Amino acid sequence: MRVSKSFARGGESQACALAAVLALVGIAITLGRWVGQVPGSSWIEAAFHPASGNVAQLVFHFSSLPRSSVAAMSGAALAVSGAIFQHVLRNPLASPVTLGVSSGAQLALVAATVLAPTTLGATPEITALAGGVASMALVFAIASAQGLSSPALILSGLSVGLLCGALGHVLKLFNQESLAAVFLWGAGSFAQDDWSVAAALVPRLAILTLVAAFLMRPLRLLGLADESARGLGVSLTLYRTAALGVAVCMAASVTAAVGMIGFVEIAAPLAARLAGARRLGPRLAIAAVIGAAILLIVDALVQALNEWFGASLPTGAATTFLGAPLLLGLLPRMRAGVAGETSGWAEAGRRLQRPGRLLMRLTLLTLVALVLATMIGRTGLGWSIIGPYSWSALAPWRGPRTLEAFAGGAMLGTAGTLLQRATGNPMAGPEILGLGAAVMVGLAGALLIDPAASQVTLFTAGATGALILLIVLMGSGLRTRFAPDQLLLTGIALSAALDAVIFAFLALNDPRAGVLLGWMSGSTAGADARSTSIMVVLAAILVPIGLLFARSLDILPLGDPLARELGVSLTPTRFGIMLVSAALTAGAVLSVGPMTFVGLIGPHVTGRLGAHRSLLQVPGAALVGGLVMALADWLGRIVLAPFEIPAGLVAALIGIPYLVVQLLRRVPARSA
Amino acid sequence: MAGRDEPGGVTTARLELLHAEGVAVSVDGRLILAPTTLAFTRGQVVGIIGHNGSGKTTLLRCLARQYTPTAGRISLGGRPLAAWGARAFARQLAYLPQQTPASTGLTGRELVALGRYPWHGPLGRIGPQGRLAIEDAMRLADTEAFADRLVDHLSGGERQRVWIAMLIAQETGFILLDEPIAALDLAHQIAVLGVLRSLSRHRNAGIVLVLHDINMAARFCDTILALRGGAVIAWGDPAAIMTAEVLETVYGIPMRVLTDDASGHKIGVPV
Repeated sequence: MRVSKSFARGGESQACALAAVLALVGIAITLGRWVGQVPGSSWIEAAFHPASGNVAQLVFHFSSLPRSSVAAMSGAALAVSGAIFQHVLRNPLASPVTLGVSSGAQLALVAATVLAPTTLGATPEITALAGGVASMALVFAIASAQGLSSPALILSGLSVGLLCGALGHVLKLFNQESLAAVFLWGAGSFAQDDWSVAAALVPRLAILTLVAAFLMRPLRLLGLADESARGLGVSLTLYRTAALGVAVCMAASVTAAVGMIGFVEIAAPLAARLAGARRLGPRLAIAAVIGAAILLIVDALVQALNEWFGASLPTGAATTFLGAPLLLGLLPRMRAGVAGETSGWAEAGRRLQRPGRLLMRLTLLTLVALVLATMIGRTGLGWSIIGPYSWSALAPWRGPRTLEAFAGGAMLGTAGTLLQRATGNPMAGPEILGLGAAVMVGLAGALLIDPAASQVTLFTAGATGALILLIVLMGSGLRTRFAPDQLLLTGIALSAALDAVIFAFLALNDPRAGVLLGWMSGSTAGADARSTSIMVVLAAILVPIGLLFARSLDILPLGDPLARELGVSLTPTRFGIMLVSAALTAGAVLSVGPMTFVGLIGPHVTGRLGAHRSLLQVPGAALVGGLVMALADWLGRIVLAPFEIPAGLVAALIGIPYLVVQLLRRVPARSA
Repeated sequence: MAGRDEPGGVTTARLELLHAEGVAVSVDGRLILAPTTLAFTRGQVVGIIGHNGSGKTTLLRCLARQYTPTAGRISLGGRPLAAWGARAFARQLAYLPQQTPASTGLTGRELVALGRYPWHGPLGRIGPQGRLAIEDAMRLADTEAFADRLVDHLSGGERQRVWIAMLIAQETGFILLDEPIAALDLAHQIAVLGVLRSLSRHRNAGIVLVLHDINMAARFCDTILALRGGAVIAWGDPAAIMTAEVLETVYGIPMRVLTDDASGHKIGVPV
């Protein structure tokens, strides 16, 4: 106790010192870059009256100076925005990113560019703000069923973010060429060629800061528990809405001006708080300085790197990439801070009298569905059912893709069951933990090295990516004893970082981006007999291997102490499960893409059907997962016929609403 | 058979002993458990008492190999705990943590059957002997009525009894329990402690349990171990512990010891 008290007293000066050091580093690096451009003696001249014939001075005036100003302003604004979010929602991980504001803004911009390029696309700021506010409103609408409790807000924010992402992918898929600029924006670029962006940001941020200052006193009380704040006469809803409104506008202004700059808004306030800034006012100020310093430093580094390699890597991708590990490092220290339900394995549905029958029925259903999906099609002319005569002609075209979708879904269902049980976290799934994204990065890496990489190479690279992520996740999860929500947020943080890598890939206009996008959408259209048989064989090998872990999987959800008590060798068992899950996910991503959420649906549905033991749930989830994917593939084929929606995207559009419902159901009605 | 050496293997006699030598735990430089040397034998019920934060749970977790002490060594049957394989150890020693998961998705019988894992392993099947052990354990813990009900739907006390049945089904030489009766009503407190005591008498099990209620400890334990501030301050049979002086040292408040005329049990009460 004594230790923490003295820490609290000396804390704010400690936080100030941290901010000062970071600010000095940021300024030093920036000045260092300026010295390289224009000699220090002529800075004032270059800043205010650049000689028109002097290219260095012109670059300094029209590019370097506005760029640094915009970076510093954005960092400060994002940090303040994040700090307000965290304070109002009493959750250290609340931010525009985790509440779906940024994804909503991005989706609006993508949609505007595609659907109405001349009108809406021309006013990106308003479009982005509208999108951000709309998705935020949707998040609040969903969470209001739970009395706007903090965990409900975060969880619905994350799901709406995912939904926006999936919809964005649909749009991108149909309009690849026109969206290069949006990709660049999506990855957050500070490149400036005049003072217009900086000039636009100044008045907006000034007004918003002023409003925030007026809200300071009631805001301080919002950090208390709801009951006590109400007892002190604070109108919760009013101030909460007003404060969040200010924070959203700040984030949206920055996002519209420079694009998605990830994680500054989480990392800067968190750093301020962990360094000891307890009181709200100083915390906002210190967070702002830290945020500005972080962006100055990262931007300077990115510029130097870009000059070195002759690339144009956007800064936002870099902050997201750097921010995620930082967040991972901070998470274990926030043990008590993360709200949410911490226990709870699958809820008890009905029990089965004869478990074997469930598998029989599912198998039968699967066979019928596979045959029907192959038989029934739709052309531009209408529905068609192929009879025995044309079966031999059409089955070779429709059969492989249906089977491949089924195999992919089966692998995801199995991986989901393994992960949910191994972590004791009913919301764990290959998609939510970021495994899909990790596989994508592995694939991107393999493509970078060898553009004509074989299926086996790709599979190995993808599985390696997933395994590395799993080891990192389990490592950080173990330190925090697998608090379920923390593990989820860790996975989402990593997933965002990996997405940033993919974004950068796409932003660099690499021709291989198209291949990556194809995988991302999870299209099965290219399936042939060879690729399909590889996937079917892979599923036929890996799913039974997953079944070998059934006994340990029954025990692991009880938690480490009991698993140890019963003699389960935790480390080797976990590693084996991780290895199999990584391989399963890699196979699935190659066939149906990274974001299907079948890995969540499969085990859940099977559990609801009454399979509570692993021996039943693993094969059951494989069958259900396969069925859902085969259905998604069929729907994608017929809904917009003759155009096709990739199976992975259809599955995502089915899976994400399911995720929202699941997330909200397990959140207790009162604030945790 | 005590003390008789058998060539080429761990003797039965040695397996009777759970031995802690100079075991200490410190976290961030703060001493949670001072160097402690203790020996627990089979056939005995040992109750650990002490105020909150006195190191009871820490000691128990060290003994159960859930936590590695910062100093000292613990051995079971003469072999250091670290040298035991996971399942081999679980066949010798069972442990019930203070908090068990609220939700398992299992029925009573399924949960108790998990206690057989150390015997059949990841791929084996539960044999006739295992099934017998499960039925037996459920009967002993008075949980037969919950066999086909979901553990999640049971009350706190009922659930606790199912967990204790799981430990019994594990058929180990030592059973370590952290506050096993905290959630139980009085009748089941007596019943559960009675079962544990009969396990020690009839199956030669060594029972070590953390208890809050000094009077329950005095009534059911053969030996009481009292901790205060991370150090053992008293260790002896209930008669030696149940004195006003010792209890006062343990709890830090004035205590008085009465004797129940009918049963002869000693009762400690704060003055």
